[in-house]
Amino acid sequence: MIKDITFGQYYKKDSVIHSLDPRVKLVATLVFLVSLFISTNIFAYILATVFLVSAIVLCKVPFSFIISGLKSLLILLLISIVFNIFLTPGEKVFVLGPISVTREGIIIAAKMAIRLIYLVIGSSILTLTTTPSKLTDGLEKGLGFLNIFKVPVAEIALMMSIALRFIPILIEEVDKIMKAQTSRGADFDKGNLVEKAKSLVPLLVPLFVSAFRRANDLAYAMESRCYSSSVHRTKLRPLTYKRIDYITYLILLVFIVLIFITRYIKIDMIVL
Amino acid sequence: MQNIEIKNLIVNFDILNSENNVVSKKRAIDGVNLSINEGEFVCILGRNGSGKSTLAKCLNALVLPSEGDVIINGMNTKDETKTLDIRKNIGMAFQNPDNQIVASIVEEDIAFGMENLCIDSETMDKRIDEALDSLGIKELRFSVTSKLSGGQKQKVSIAGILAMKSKIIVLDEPTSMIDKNGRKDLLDRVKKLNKEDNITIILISHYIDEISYADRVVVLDKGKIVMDNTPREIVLHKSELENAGITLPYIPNLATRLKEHGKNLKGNEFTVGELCQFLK
Repeated sequence: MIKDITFGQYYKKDSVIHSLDPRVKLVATLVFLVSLFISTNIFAYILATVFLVSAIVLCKVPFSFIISGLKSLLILLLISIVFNIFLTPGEKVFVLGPISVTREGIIIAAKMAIRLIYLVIGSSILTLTTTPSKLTDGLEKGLGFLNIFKVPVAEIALMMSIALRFIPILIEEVDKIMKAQTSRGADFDKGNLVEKAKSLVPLLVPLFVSAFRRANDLAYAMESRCYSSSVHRTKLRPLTYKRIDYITYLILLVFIVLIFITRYIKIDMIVL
Repeated sequence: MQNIEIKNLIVNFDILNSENNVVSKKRAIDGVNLSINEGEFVCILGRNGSGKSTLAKCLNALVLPSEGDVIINGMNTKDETKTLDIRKNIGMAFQNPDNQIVASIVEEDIAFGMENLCIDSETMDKRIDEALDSLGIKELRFSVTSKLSGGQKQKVSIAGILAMKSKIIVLDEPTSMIDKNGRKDLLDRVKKLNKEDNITIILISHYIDEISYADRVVVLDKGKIVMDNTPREIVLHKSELENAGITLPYIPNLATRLKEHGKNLKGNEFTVGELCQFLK
């Protein structure tokens, strides 16, 4: 049930994208997301598509694997498309009784769909090509400047990586508790939404208790290995920029500038 | 040179009521005196609740004495400025291997302790190799920790301690979540570390079978040391062990009972081979 979440899973492969510094990939994802939301016309979308397709090709992860993250988005996507198509006022294209479809509605729905799909694919590429630990390393170093404002970046990064490490353990635990409760007559699938939510209480309480116990044990284990938040720590694999990383930054710069330029192209045809 | 010196150690735990007021005290360790020398392999044996885990936590300042002293290589655990140094000297592996692994990848977990000690990355690289090699799990270096077996996880956590170059390793019931084969393999490796690298091993256990690995056995009950002797001597005192809630391992038990029936045995035979000697 919980095991088929692909979002946030690393796909091992030897590619240019995989070998990039995680900071570059984080910035690239950010730039891409921003570019999606400042895109106003078709040229910008074409640019974004070219960017995304080249990333997909370069990362060598099978396409079916990349889009499998879209499954969880399907309902959200449908809802937003349906609402936008039917509820946007404007020039009527198609009327069916009380429901009318407008030209503006179709355009907004299409934009919304493209943005959402691109957004998920873009961030999937980041998580598919970067191990969680590299990602937290990247965040730690990339946000290191926040230290000046007394933000404990290193501690937050460590917390994140520990949280990621405990996800499979807690999933296993949920499975175990569910089986134990089911064997004593609990039913997690029956009833309406409220009943279903109620039936989760006997699952969540033991899960929290065990999570706290694990946290306590882990704190002991970390302390006994000389962990202390006050001392500086070194890294097994310190992050350093290579040539390819600088080139990527340059490409990103060109990309975002081009996106901005497209905002000033005035066209009257299909104003996307 | 004396490695560990425990003097009149008493540890009390406060028992709190729902308003967080102390209602009573539970004495977990009750006047323990113990000294352990460099290179010894000591097994601390006791039933559940005998205070053995608390004693282990006292050794690296995770639990501080209520009374008495714990001195590691001349450093008192009460001295807070020495806490990090003590933890550098004493490494500890806990019961549940899942709860002590910090990172998702084996090499990163082993590096965790060294990162805390600010060791540079080349040295770390070398030490990770050495640590994995000495435990025979070199091929696991880039594995995902959550996919390892219990025995492998426990070895990874010991490797993390070895990489920190701790001279004393405390194993707090390391085998309780591992199957029989994994247990034997792990303890054989630990024994090898003890013999070849002269690392002091303190094995906390409630499996009496494991005492055969040790040079010395300390039996703990109700927070007190009730026996302190070599494994071969310990198994001769069946009734005292039973008072401490411990039953003899299979072969020494058989030997003892044969002796009770008037056979000419020592009663401390540990292996089938030794029993066969008698049958000849």
